[in-house]
Amino acid sequence: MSRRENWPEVKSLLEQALEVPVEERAAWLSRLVAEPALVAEVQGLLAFEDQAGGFIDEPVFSFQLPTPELEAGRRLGPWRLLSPLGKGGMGTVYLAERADGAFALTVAVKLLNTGLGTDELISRFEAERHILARLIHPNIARLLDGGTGEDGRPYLVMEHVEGEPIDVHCDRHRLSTRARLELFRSVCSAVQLAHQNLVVHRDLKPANILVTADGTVKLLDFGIAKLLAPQPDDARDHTAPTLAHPGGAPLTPRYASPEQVRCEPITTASDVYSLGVILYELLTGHRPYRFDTLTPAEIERVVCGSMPPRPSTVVRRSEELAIKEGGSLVLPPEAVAGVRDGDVARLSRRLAGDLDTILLKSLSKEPERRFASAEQLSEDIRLYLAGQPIGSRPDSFGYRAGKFLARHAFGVTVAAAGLVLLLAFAGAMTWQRAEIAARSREVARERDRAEATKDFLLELISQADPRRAKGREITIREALDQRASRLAEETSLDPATRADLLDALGVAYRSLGRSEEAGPLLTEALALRRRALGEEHVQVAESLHNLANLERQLRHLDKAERLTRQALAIQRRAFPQGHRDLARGLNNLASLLGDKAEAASVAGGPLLAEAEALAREGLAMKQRLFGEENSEVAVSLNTLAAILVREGRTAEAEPLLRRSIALRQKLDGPRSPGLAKAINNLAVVLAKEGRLSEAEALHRESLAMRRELYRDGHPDLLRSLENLSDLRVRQGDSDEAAALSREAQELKKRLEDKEAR
Amino acid sequence: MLSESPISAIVSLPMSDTKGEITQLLLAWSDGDRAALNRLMPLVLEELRRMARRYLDGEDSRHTLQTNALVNEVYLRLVDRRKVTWRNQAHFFGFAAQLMRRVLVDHARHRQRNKRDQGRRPLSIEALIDLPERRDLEVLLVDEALKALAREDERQARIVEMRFFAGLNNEQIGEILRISPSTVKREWATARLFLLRELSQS
Repeated sequence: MSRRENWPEVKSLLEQALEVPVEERAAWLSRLVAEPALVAEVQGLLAFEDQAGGFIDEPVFSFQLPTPELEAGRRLGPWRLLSPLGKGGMGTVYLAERADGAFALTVAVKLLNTGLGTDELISRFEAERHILARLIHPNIARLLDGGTGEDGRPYLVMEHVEGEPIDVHCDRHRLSTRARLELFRSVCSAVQLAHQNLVVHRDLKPANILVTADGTVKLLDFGIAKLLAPQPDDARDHTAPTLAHPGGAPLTPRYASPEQVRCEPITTASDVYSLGVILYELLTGHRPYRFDTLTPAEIERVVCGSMPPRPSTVVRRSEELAIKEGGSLVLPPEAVAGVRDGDVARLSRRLAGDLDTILLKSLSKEPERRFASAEQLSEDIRLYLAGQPIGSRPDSFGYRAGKFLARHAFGVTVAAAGLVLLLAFAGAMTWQRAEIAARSREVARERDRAEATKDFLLELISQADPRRAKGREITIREALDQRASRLAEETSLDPATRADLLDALGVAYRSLGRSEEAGPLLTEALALRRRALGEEHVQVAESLHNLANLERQLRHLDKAERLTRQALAIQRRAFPQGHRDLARGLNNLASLLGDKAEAASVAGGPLLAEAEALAREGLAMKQRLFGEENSEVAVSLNTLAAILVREGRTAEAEPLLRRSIALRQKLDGPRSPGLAKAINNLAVVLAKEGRLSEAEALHRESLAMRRELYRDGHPDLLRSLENLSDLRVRQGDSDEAAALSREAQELKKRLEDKEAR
Repeated sequence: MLSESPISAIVSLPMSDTKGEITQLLLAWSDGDRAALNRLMPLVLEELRRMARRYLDGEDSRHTLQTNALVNEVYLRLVDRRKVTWRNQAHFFGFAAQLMRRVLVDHARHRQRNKRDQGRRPLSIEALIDLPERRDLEVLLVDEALKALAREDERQARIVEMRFFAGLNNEQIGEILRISPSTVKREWATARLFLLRELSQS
């Protein structure tokens, strides 16, 4: 055997070589500038790859480490763990119930990853949780109980909240700036109550602010808040010197204040700052800061040293989002504005002035230049909403010593008890200084991963849906594929989150016309939701609708109808007072029945009668919920018009379509998928009435718009080509008709290939 | 042996019984005291054997008892859970991987010998191991090749040990060694090639 080279060197080259596709390795090796002997050894090792298949892949023995699933069924005090809800750096959260049957109550139990170890620490933990249990506010998830398991791991029992993060909620419901501000004010009121009780949250972020199905805001995780009150008789001094930072490293850099990043004492002003970041994101869809890396130095440089862009300016730019897999996605300003106030210019105008001032003031580097309290921030928002002059002045240097002192007396350095608790929660008990900071950051990243995934997906989808991305769908297909394959490997997600991700991915694939990929994802999401949430859950209905839409796209109309009716039944029971989702569901069924009637052609009458009734019910509900000027209303107008056309009532359909077109232009601007569709529909109506030249102009307009929007092809573009081709036949221009028809055939083939792939 | 970064602090522990001693040795080991492992191993092995005897002598004679369950129970019995934090538990399995390696290698060797002697198997931990005979040779060969790898790269050898002899996954190994799962995966890929070459040359 020849002399062996230094293994670390060999290994490093070998690792690189393994990254290179097999067929390119020879070339890669030949280009290497390295010792020939070294290269030869790497080559020799690579030769073993052929035999490597299966080698030691199967362990000879396997331990079963405790997993969240195994912990289910475990009893903690009077509580019995039912199923894991989620996992984070601090520990695992379980759904739990009273084991003694004293009363029926399901709660969330957070079982921490660490043992506190000593009796003294446990007693501090007890003291802390009793104080937290006193935080009673309709917008704060209550801490109900807590204790220490027989293995020394502390647990907290909290009110179980079902909801979605506030940012997701706002975007999904396309809340206007005004609605966002109103919702945000209830967040402020909860934070204010905690502050009055000397509790700082310290980790405010959208993931900790849920909105329930009935629209109530709930703040979670006051469990890691620390007490501000100074503790007389501070017997904790002996622990203090071993702890690195008075404030602890920030848990979530994205929302951390400059003083948190610098590990300085944390006061209520830090929470006000985090509220500012959250509001900035809610209103602008942009992050105030951009980190190149997540190193402590970079975070400190950015948070402490750079100014966030003015909100009214930033919404005119694209937001670039980093993707985990590397690379980035570009979210165009239209996508951001689309889920807020409609168009970019209007959103920018709304933010300019008072809202710019309020946001930039909340994000001041110096705590004393921010709002003195969450309440004051809320008050300025109230004044803005009421159209009254706000209290804050732009770029004010209204730094007043008196105010500073008053607040400083309140914001004393964090009590050691709280600090100890915090560190215990962070999973770091008595590491050395540097390690505490490092570990806390690691914890933060782990915790953020799941949220980030969800955020990322939602962002991805706003891109993927051509109605929002204005035809930029193609660029993100790869990102979707990557995301989908990664999801398959992620085994630690709780079922509900997993279902959300599957569902979101499925919808995104469907909107790209990739039903092959969409089908299994949506089916799995439905099954998971049924199991995790129960048959009657509104999310089950959502899944049924999504699956139905896919079946409809595949022209499996009976199946689609069955699924939609199931979904609608759930929604009718869930929303007796009406709801946006119910209105959408009604519209779905109406539109589906319209398709069926067309396919059936002979006995379509009763179907169309039902479809019309459903469409009118949905439209009325939307008008009641959103007023007239809303894109949801435009969708319903279109659906109703299409049904009327099929009933032969074209004269009634025309004004509806013209209203829909006007709405689309107003809300989405001069070019959008919805507008193209509305124009196409009007053209079809006019053609039926024999108004051929008017129809031709409109078809051309819609076709041109769709060519722009769907450069890579889309079923809607196909429809436009066919429609115009048919019309040209009727008008006697068979040359153009033939050319259009050829183009349509080619596109159809391309779309089918894409489907097959 | 192992070089290990300190993890969790030791709180004062009673020294009264074996259980306390094992706990303390485990903590000391995870705190970087390499010598602790050498003292720990015989104690734990002895405890394992004692328990195995009890199981095998027991009326229900659960010969098919999974070694998993046994080792997990040993852990619960041996280690005072109030004193050992969660991270130590992850560490325990790192330790247990080495333990299992010894047990499995002994077992394979023993069976190879007994084939010739046709002797009766002693009542021991080895008797509980549900390892197909066809894998005996694999166990012995990998054990030898791993020694060579450990001389070059101790951490890499531990990764293979934890995965092959204890069935831990990349996340769990990463947790124990405090490296990312993707690093574990890369190390595994090159270690396999190293081991294959080693075997081809032995």
